[in-house]
Amino acid sequence: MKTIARYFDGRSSQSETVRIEVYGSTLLISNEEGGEVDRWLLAEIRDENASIRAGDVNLSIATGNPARLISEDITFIDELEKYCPNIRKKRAGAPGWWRPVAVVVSVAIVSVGLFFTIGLPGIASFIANVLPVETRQNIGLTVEDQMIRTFSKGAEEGDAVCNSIPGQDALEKMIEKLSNADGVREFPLSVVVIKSKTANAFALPGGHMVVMSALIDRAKSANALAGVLSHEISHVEEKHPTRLFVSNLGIAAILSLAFGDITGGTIFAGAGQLALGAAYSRDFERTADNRAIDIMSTLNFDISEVIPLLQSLVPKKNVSSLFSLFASHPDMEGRIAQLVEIGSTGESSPLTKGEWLSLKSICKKAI
Amino acid sequence: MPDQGHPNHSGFKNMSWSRGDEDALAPFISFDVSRKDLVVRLLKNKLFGVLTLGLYRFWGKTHLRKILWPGIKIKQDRLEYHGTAKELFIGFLIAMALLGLLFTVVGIGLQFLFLSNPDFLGVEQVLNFLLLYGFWQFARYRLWRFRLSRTSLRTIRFFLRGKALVYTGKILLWSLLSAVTVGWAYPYMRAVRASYFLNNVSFGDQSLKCTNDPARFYKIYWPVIVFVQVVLVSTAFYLEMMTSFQIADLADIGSVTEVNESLIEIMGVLVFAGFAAFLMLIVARVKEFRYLVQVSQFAGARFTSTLPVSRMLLIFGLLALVSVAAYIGIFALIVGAIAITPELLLVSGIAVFIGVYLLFDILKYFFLFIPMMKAVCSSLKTTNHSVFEEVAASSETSPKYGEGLADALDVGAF
Repeated sequence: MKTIARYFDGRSSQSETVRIEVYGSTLLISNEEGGEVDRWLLAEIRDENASIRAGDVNLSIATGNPARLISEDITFIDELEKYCPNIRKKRAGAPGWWRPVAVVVSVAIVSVGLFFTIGLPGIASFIANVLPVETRQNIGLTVEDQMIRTFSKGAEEGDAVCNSIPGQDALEKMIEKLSNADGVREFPLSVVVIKSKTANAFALPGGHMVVMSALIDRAKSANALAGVLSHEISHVEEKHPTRLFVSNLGIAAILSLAFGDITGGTIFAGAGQLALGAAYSRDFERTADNRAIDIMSTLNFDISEVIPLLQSLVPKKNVSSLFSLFASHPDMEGRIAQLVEIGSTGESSPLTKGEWLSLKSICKKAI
Repeated sequence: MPDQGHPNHSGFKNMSWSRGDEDALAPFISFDVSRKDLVVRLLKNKLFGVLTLGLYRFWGKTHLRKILWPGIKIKQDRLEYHGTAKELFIGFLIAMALLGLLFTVVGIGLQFLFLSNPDFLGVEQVLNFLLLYGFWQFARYRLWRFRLSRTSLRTIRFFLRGKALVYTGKILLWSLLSAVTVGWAYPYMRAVRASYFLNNVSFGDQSLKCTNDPARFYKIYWPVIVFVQVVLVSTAFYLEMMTSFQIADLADIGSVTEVNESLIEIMGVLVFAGFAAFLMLIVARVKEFRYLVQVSQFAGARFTSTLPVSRMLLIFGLLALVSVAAYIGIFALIVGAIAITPELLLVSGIAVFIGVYLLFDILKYFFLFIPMMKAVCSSLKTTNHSVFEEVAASSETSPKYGEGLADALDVGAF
């Protein structure tokens, strides 16, 4: 079995017309004068055109060896396949080819792991600590303004904020007591009540807090509200809002890079951010829960009065375990169980009965 | 505008070609791929890409290139692609680590700049855009350096010398000037870009030489620039007029509806103008391509391209028609299916999502990439057919891992 082919030695783009023939276990390549040019082991020969099903073969002998044999003789190509069992197979890598890959992949996995577990929380905590109080306050104020604008839904911004003077005084008195539990405070706290049917409270960067009016409506006693507020104050003390904000930005940057260019990559990145961000958030919530218990005990206020308030917030339907991955707070039953176990933590109240009634009617406008 | 692509026209006046050279001009490059292999590959890439959350893209891309590269035939020789998925993957991991850190730090810094003082909103967005734009240019240069170094013809490799950072600096500078001069520096930027890129391309021990004249780029691009400026100025003028009119007639309730109608009209005109500008840009790009081919030399050989503007416009026109028809067809099918069995809503939603993305890829290759490559390749002619057969291998070293940046930034389209 012989044919004519073009041979490239890999040193120049010039080709040489050669005669090729199967000779034992090799392919003998000889020039027009009959002199031997090279001998290729049949088992090592591969067709570099295998993936394109072309009418010609582009034969190679080893990875890294640029020499090529090109033949367009269809009959020879068909015959050659019988002699070269591996002609269409992928060439195995050099011994130990996997080592650098394994090293890089392991380093990448470890560094991504370290980045999310230590690096990002570390950076977040560092930034939260070095950021001047004024900057954090400005960030908090910007977010607070955005929230007020969202809740005012086009109406006058003043209408979305509940601020009757006696109610606001009572609220500030409560905050003052709770935040002075240890007698140490870095900067003043401010709280704003937004009219809403959703019962919730938020801590924002720079000591800003937002309380939704429905939370005050649902609270049966001053201690119930104080329990929730001491949880939010703990977030402020630990600078959780700033840290969470930084973490979310970092997660967003990394994930959008990782899922680069696949269909729906943005969706994966978004879901990933939600899950990872929620995981950080759940850690912060646990810390804040424990600190709230400390504050309430120190001041001799009863945190167990929060239990009915929390029970009224338990979602009616069971949420599947998949969604709990994205939940930013630990599950409510767990939190209630923790409070039930601790029981009563005091007998006093942060407000007098009159002050509490004023706070309950903070959304009512003076006539 | 003279047709620069044809050797008998004014574009070749300054060249000292002999009669024999002109006779030798004949097509020498062709492009053809197996459409069946391509569709199977595109489907596999999408499917495995989704299943592996994008990790498969390095392997998919390598397989795709092993189909596309040999599609280009110079005389009787095919291009060969030597890149491996491992190189792409490792490059990507390295770029991820570097970019991850940089973007986290810069992103956080910029966000704080804005949130601590909302007046910085504009500055923050401009800085963010500049950073991404700069990286994109840098990544593009590196991407071509990798692709060329993994491409061979007759066993000899191509190379892209030069520095990605210098290229990025030039493009950033001229892009800023283009923005400041409302487009008037843009032709110069195209000239600078082409000059830097083409003069750094090598094949074996020989280099491509390109001596272009920026004035020719102005001749090519001025209609697009003037058109865009006229549209912008008239829109601004019209909006200004309308605002004064609105204030004068504030009490008249009817005027609100009229203003809304006028806005819709403006949007309609703008969409139409945008489409016209796009077509003008295609024409300019074809002329630019022909000019650059004409002023490039390789090892003493000169080239020319007779790429007709009408053929490119036809390709884009056909792509638009087929895409619209295909998408209308898919949606009609889904609406029909839901009308018969409303329970199919979710299933059809997912089917549309996957179908549309698969279809987008196939349409892109069948009606844009393949016809465009065929048109471009068959339009190229040279004075010396054997020019690529007389080159020696170069001792230049190839980049070890490439395209990482481009992969992370989603620059690499294929």
